[in-house]
Amino acid sequence: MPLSGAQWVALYPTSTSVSDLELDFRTSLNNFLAALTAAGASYTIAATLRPPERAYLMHWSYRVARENYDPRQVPAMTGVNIDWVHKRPNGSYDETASRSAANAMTTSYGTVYRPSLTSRHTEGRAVDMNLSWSGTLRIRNAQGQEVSIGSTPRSGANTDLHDVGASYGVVKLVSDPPHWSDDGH
Amino acid sequence: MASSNSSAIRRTGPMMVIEQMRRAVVIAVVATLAGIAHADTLPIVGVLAPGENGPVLHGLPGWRSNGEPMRYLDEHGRAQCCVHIAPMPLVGASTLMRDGQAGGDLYVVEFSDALVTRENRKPLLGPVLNAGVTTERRSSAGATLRQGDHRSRLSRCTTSEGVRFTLKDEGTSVVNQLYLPLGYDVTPSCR
Repeated sequence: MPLSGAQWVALYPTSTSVSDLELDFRTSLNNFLAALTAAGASYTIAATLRPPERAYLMHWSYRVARENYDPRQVPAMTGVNIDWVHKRPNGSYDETASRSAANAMTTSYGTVYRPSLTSRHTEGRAVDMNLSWSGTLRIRNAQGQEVSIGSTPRSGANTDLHDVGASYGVVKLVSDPPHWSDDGH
Repeated sequence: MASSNSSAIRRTGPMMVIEQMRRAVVIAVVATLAGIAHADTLPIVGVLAPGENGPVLHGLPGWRSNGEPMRYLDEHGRAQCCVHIAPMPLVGASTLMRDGQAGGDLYVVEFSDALVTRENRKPLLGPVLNAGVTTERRSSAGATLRQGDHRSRLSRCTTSEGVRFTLKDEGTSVVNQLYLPLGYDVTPSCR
């Protein structure tokens, strides 16, 4: 089984594709994005699906490297054949090498806070995106009614746009400016 | 006018994606209409964050590095010396936004991704102090910053996938907030 280390960081990348999202939310988001496009707005997607495997690797490398978690106690994850336990040539447990490898992973990931194992992103039910437009945005909501948004900001932080997004089932999480999901979490 | 580059950037390097997002959403929340947060008027010049090839600085408008070493606040609110920030031109734009939650106006601040060098390779995320700023009453939740006669309380907390720095001027009660997306999900600590 491959040992832990920085080489794992390139695996299971965060997707920016809508097609990687769970079906219901994918449909909702595609409809909202189509309405935005038809209204002349621009959008850039920064993240859709964060693979659970990536969250697993980020979480446990952080626990081992920064929180002194025993690498021998890290639970396995189906489909991720990583060995967190490094050994000396004589077969004995090498704690220094195990923690060093986990530390290399946190450094490459740029992890500063303990990553969550699950989230709306790992479930394929969230998107991070930046939105912008000029002038008044005339956009149709999910009921087909045209909504004129002349308020500012002309971005994803616009509360009038939040109502339009919600009509499509794309709900804003206000505390995180780029983040929308199927339930606002 | 409508556009999207979502298909073009279907999968990119993980840190690149994070940096792209940070460029767009590093924001300052100004609870009054006093004006856009500016490095000349604040005790910090920007926020350090992990980047593709080491730490980068997301700088506030108006700040230019002169190459001098800069102090930064660590996660315990302690001023650490130092980071060396390469002089680089600022890029980006400011956009007015409404913050329904805070009840104030939001501004997307100009940013600069100036390369930062330091000896410690541990990932770092923290504000860089303006020259002459001293720190008092430090804790993991933040620190009091003194800049001449002005005192400000700087605190930090995590949202679902970002870090929010709140800077409250003790004299004017003006509140500035900076939000930096992490690129991964965390347990929120912001109330």
